[in-house]
Amino acid sequence: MTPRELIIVMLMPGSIGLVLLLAAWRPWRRAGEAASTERTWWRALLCALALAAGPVAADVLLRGWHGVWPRATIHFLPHVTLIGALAGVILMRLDHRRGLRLALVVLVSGLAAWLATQHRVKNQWSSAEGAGWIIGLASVSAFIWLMADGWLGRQARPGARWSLLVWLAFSACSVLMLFSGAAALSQIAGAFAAASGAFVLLAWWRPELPIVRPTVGVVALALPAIMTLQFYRWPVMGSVPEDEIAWDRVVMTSACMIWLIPSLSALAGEPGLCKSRKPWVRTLVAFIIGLVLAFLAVRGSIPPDKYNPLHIGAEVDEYGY
Amino acid sequence: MLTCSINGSTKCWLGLAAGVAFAGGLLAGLAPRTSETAHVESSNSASASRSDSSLATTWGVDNVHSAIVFRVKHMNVAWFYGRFNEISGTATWDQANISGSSLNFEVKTASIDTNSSGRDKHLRNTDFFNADQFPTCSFKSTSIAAKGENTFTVKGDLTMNGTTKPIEITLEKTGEGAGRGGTQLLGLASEFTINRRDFGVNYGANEVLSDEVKLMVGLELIKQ
Repeated sequence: MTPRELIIVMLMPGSIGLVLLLAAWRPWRRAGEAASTERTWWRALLCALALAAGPVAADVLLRGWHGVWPRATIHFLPHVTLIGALAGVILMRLDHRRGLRLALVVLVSGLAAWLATQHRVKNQWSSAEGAGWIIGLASVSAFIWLMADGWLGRQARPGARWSLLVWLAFSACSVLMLFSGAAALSQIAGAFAAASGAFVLLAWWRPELPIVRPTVGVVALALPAIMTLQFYRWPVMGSVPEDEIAWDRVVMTSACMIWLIPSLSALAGEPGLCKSRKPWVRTLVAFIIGLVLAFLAVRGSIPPDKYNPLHIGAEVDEYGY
Repeated sequence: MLTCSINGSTKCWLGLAAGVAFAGGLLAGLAPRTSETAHVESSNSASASRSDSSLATTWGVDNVHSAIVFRVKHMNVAWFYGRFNEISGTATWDQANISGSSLNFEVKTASIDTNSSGRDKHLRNTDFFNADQFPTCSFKSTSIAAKGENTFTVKGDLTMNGTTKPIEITLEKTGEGAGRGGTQLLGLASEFTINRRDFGVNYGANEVLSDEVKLMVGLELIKQ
């Protein structure tokens, strides 16, 4: 990675995230003052943008702006991210309207799933296959979204664990993308991880600030979208089908493991997973489980013959590689 | 014709006319019915005495004897070469009426070959050719004009990564002749440079992987 790319992928998203969060909450002020304005819509919007704006800017700087309706599906990631940011803020305003909340989540998740798979829906899949994939992917997004949003809404100090696990999920996603042959997507996932870092810092400094709930939409849509854009290999681990040799793709099981990591925030509160009532113990348990999932996900997606420019003189296969 | 030489009468001319008409009909039946062929047949009866290439005939790419090689600078240090292994397409070629000729070629992007399977996978991926969504790159000529005896200026549309841009290239006719088994062969070649970012291939900085990519095309075409 060049210094320019490092700045775009790491420094810029982290800085944008931190500046927007500080602007929204001015955390050096008294806690009560901040909490009283929790539901101000513009604060929520700034929080959502703190996670979304940096990666979107990184995507545009790295891969160019390809118009409002790009030709290539991969260029819809900024769209999906911004839709998630806006929908996340709107969802917070609909706390007592369950029907509307569900309808919004299903609609937006379905839209994001379609945007991330549209060329395959059009060119490669039958109508039934396309519908199946869209419903499946939308269900994943909706599950992450509703579960996390509901849980975060009930917590008094919800920020630290969620931020840490979101950071872990995007970091693991970045490594996974790198090993599956999609370096640009790896960089964008890294940008999300860097922006999540700003949330981790602020959440540990001022855990009472409700900074993370508006970001759930971004996480719920962008995380599955990144992996959907890097094509799936149907759930196999280890073996690579003959017709897949030309490709490196994300193994389905690996994708599911990464998706599960943010949801550990809520699952860590289940007595079956962690009996301790201490928040830091639950956070630690969730983080360790997340680390194991991240390791398994990455390990499961490493192809047998990775390109390694430093590997000169290594044994070659029958094709001379 | 034997009758003609014996009698030397009107019958001779009728026989000759019928023979020419039959031969013409046979040629017309064998040649593809393009507008170019119709033009050649109607406008110039002397065309029958020219070489085959002067008739606008259709030629198909011989993938085994054709190559598309690209050159890109790595780390601003060294030239790196790769190639595409699956080329297809047709040319309608009439050197006597070159403006009526046309070229239409396609390359399967997944056939990229850089002597490293891992790197080839990366190149097929969304960072570069996005071969899953855009399985082919293509070139379609829009106009061809003579530049020299065997060189031509070709304008056309290059489509890569779903993006179509007009380009202008210099095309050289490298040869024409008989192949094995009586086939007619035509050789075309061109070298030109494109900016990969014009086609949405934005991965990597210019210092790592040069924006400018030189393409070297050598095509052997078989008369259809």
